[in-house]
Amino acid sequence: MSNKEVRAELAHLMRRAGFGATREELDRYEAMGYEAAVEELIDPPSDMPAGEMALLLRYMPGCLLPGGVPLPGQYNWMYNMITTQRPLEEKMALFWHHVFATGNSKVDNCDQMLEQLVMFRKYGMGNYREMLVQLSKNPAMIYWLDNNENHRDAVNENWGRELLELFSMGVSNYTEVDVREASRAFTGWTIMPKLPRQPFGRFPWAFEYLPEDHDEGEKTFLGYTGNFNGEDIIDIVVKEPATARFICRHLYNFFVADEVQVPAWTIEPARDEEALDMMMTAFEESGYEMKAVLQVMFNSDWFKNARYSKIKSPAEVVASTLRLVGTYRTPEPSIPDIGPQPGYMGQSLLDPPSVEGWYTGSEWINSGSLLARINFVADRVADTSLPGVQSIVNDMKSAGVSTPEELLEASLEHMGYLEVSDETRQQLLDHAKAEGNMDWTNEDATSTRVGEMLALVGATTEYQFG
Amino acid sequence: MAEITIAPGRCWQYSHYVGRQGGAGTGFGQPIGVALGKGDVMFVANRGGKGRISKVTVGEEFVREFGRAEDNGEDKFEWLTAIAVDQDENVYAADEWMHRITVFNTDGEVINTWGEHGDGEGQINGPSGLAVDSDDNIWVVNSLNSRIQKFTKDGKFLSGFGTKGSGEGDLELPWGITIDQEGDIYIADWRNHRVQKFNSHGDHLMTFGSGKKTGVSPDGGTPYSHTFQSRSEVNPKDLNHPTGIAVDGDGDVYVVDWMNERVVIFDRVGEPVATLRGDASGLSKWAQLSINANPDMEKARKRVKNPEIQNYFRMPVACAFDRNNDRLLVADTLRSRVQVYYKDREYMDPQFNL
Repeated sequence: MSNKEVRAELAHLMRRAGFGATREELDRYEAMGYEAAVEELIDPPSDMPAGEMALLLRYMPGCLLPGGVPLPGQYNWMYNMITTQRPLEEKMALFWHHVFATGNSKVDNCDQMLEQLVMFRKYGMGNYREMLVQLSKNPAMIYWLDNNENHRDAVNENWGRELLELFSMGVSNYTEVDVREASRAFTGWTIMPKLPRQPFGRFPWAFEYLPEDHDEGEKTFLGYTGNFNGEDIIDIVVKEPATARFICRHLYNFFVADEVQVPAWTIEPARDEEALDMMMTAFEESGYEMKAVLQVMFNSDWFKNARYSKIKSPAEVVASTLRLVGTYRTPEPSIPDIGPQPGYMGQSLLDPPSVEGWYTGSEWINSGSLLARINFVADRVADTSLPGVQSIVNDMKSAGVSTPEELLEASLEHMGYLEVSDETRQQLLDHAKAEGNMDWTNEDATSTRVGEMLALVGATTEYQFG
Repeated sequence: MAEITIAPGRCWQYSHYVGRQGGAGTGFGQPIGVALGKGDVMFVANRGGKGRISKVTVGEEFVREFGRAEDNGEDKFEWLTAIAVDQDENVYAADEWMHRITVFNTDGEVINTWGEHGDGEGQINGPSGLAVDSDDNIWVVNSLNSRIQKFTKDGKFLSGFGTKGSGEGDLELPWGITIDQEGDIYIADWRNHRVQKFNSHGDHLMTFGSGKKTGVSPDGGTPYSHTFQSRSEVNPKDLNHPTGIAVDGDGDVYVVDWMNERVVIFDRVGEPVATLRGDASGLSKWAQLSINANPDMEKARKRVKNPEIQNYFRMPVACAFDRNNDRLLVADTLRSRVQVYYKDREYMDPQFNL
């Protein structure tokens, strides 16, 4: 395999398992090799920290406990995405936010939404059963799906239903009776009463199990009968083949290639049944370990060959572009501006449209969102005052980039080692040729020209896809 | 019930707190600095809402507030960081984004603005801490280039020291500063997780704390939920991003251990003697006002099973020691209040069998 191919695969890996990679980062991954890079992503060393939250909180103390306002939570998370050195951990938090979609629109407590993200980071690459247990005890989720209203003598089925329908097996794999019985098993799983928000601001929610409010009666769930509690339900659910298929199909849709939307999964076959089988096998044989599935997935040929077959989510567009241009590594007063950017493109972080989460793939694109995506990228990569863009310009200058062809190649390489179609390449080249060779004696004008070419690359299908 | 924290020969008795969450008047918004005025007056720097300074008394009387964007016009704050008060009760306020010191008189009128951004002698870069010495000179912590500089009251450079690094005497993103009665300088060496003491010429004298960070996991975990229980096990020498400092008349040193959400008290030779975690039980006068305005809040308070959680510091940033009254003021930043402790300097344990 040529070095070029290895580098293209690594660039692809980093777009999917992270938020893209700069040329310097690709150099490092290339030196260690593809499989070692996957290992590092899955098992990041402890001295490779996530974003320096202390730095964010030093300058923006209000984003630790934002209360009901979503904005501070949104930029808090975006800061993590652009500064983390554990990109897959953060990407998995985003994955679980898609699957276990919880919204501040109802929770009205961004403190707890951020606390849920901490849980996703901690357990996101761990055991799926343990994740479900943590999720069942997560205060934001309990409030979001009304399990605090699920009582021994007055069952509320919201959590029990979504656990089965959206968080594990998918529809058509259980009955209404199963929903009822699962809900009964989770009675008494609630939130401890907390201090009110006045006069000192929000105090944290905490999970509380109330045995006196738990239905101790016998339940029959998916053919099993017993005096089940919540964890018993989870033990049954995780063993169901439908669960393995549902979670692995979500992973495929998120990391490999765009699938049809979740509601169509019962009628549309998977995009790649063979790939799904491999993932399901790893999931079941490992005892539901997410790392085992991720390892199989990222090292497979079908993953490596799936380049540009998935439209980036808005969060991916924003985070990967901000990482590329190197802004907000240290907080600035304008950092809140980065929080709502994905929302302008159709993905308001911490506030999904419903418990179904977002529809993905082509659903991300409409005439408004496409313009927002392209303009966001163009505004940043064409800004030669930004440190990442400055670095690209300096690299091109010191490499002696001179001809239009060299300008195009260098731009594609710096924008994430992009491989564009022949037609796109020709169009970009025609634009580059219109101004002839680069004139580094006029550095300002030439820098602007580099920025313009980067902006054009940012508008290509290949950049907007992952 | 008031709490008492005991160390050999002295103790700290929790008294009360001042403040509540609010965007104006008797409410504080992320109080990030506290400084003593004359008599019972204290000034509180509020980081939230573009910054303002509250002039109140320790006895919980509101005097005025100033420094708001609408008051200050072009001199408005962006990132208000620290305040200090001189002998005339003029208030010096640092803005670490604007690289500027704004001087107010005690009535809140801007009387001067100084500071030129840069790394050269007399220039300032990210001012994060302020202190006034016995000659009424102003000491400024430059967080972004790790330099400590002394200025006259009107901003004329006098002297400076400090280098960036992690070795003895080096500083990394320093934050708070205080000066003891001998004129020695204490700096919260934030990213090195220690406090360093220098003489006024910048010679390193001693270090407080192990320099070993604890409490924040490698995955960047931060205290979204109050983790007092687990943090209580942290060795008092293991500071985690210390922010504020004060020294009392006996030489006891108060270090606000920001990420561990506590104040560690060291003796003059650098040994920890006590730890405060916050004792703000009950409701202050101003806090009660906001509860009275919404009876549902009172009902909600009554159903709580763990009310003690409201007592604890939440990411506190600053402290000041009032040597005239032997009292410690702690800016309890994310709880929007100032907790007040009195020091008994001649404490003796009572007989056990009273």
